Amino acid sequence: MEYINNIYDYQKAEIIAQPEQKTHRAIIAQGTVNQTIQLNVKAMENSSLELHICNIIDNEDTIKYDIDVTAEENSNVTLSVVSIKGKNVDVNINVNIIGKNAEVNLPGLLLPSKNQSFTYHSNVIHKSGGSTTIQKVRTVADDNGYGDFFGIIKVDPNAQKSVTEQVNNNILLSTDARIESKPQLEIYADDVKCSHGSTTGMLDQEAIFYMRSRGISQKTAQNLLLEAFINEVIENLSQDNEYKDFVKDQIANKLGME
Amino acid sequence: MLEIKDLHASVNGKEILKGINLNIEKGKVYAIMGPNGSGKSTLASVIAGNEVFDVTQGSITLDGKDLLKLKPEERAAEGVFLAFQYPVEIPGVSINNFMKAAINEQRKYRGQEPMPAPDFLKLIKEKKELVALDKKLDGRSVNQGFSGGEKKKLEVFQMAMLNPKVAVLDETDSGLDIDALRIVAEGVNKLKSEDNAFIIITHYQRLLDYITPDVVHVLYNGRIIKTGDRNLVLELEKTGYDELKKQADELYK
Repeated sequence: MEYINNIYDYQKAEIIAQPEQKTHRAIIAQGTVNQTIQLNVKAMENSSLELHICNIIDNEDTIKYDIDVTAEENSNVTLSVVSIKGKNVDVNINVNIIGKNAEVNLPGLLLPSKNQSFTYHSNVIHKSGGSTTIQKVRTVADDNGYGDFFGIIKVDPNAQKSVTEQVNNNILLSTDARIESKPQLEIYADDVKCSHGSTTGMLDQEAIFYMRSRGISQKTAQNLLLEAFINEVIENLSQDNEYKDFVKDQIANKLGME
Repeated sequence: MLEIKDLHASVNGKEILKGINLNIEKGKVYAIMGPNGSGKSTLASVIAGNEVFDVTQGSITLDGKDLLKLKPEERAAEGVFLAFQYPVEIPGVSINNFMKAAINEQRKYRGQEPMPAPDFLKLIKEKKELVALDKKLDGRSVNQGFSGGEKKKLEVFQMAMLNPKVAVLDETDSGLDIDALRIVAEGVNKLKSEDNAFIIITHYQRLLDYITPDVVHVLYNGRIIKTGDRNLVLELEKTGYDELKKQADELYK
């Protein structure tokens, strides 16, 4: 994994995975940042492309991403977004699947808390058949935090045998927190397997009582449930443990876990 | 050890427990029987500290300590354990992590250091064997995808791990086949000691074929309407609750 710690080098960048090559990068947006980042991402035939974005910018700052992704035949693409800190973090993703048998994975995790607004908008188009898109985005909103998931997956008429799975699960930790969720499917082919879903709720109070009855404090019980909810996204981000551990540390830091 | 005096409890303004008196002594096994809807599970939940129920009157003390002032987790650390009638599934939390958190937070409450990892692993191995917990459940999330029998065994396993002073088993026999029932009963019999007590809540006599109670109470309509020894179980099995219910309805009408 190649780490990009200085986001200024990436205001307008192209990331290309050449045929048969692996390109794995992680953008760590941190510190004082008020930017729009435009990324042009291309996974060529038989390539493996991972692009991970972790947002831990200062709490007064704003960052916006416009990301265009093209997936060619047999490419394997992961584009992940984890938004932990910042005043406004807005991510717009357009994915064009133009080749057959591409695999696209779009995991996301938004953790807005006090005065934070994190949005995730995506538009995925299957233009060619036999490809797969898996999009699992989770939000945990605390205080008056705002999380917004808006995702379209569109399957063109000639993209037969497409497989898509889109699911957005959200947890509200406070009555002032707000979450909007709009998963959408547009299917114009008749031989496809597509699903989408969305859930939003508070933490399972029965599970919390069950844990407390074993001697686990309210706070620890809540953290164990949150950790489990979050880890399901983190574990599937990448094979790269170093990056996953980095993200876990940042999250633990934010949520005040041990 | 555990004293319950004139306990009244309600849920959403409806009174479920209408004056329960119980004196639970060390080294004994108590059975609380009674028809459905009599308040048995409510009593178990109130002892454990479920905040869904409002205690409107009375007291619960454990070795003189006022349990009603304590949070559920504090009661657990004082030695109260509830085996749930419907154990809750906790996706993504492994059995080992769950137990480690429970044991160490209880120790913290009691001013003890966390249990050293080798001791913990030894304990968990020993207690898994005690309830014949299937090896295939290792590393699984708490109760997730477990059969009814596996869930109940996991309750007894947790009880063994936490070694409570007073264990309340809420309908632990429901949904068990005969083999699982025997394993659960054997687990309880092995854990029984001079220093602890068990309260077995059940609708049927089935579990009591394997665990012999010292005292049997019959709970009906929020009150204990009869108390006896183990022979009461057999009597009830023959006659059912109808006669007792009629007498109680007459008495409290």
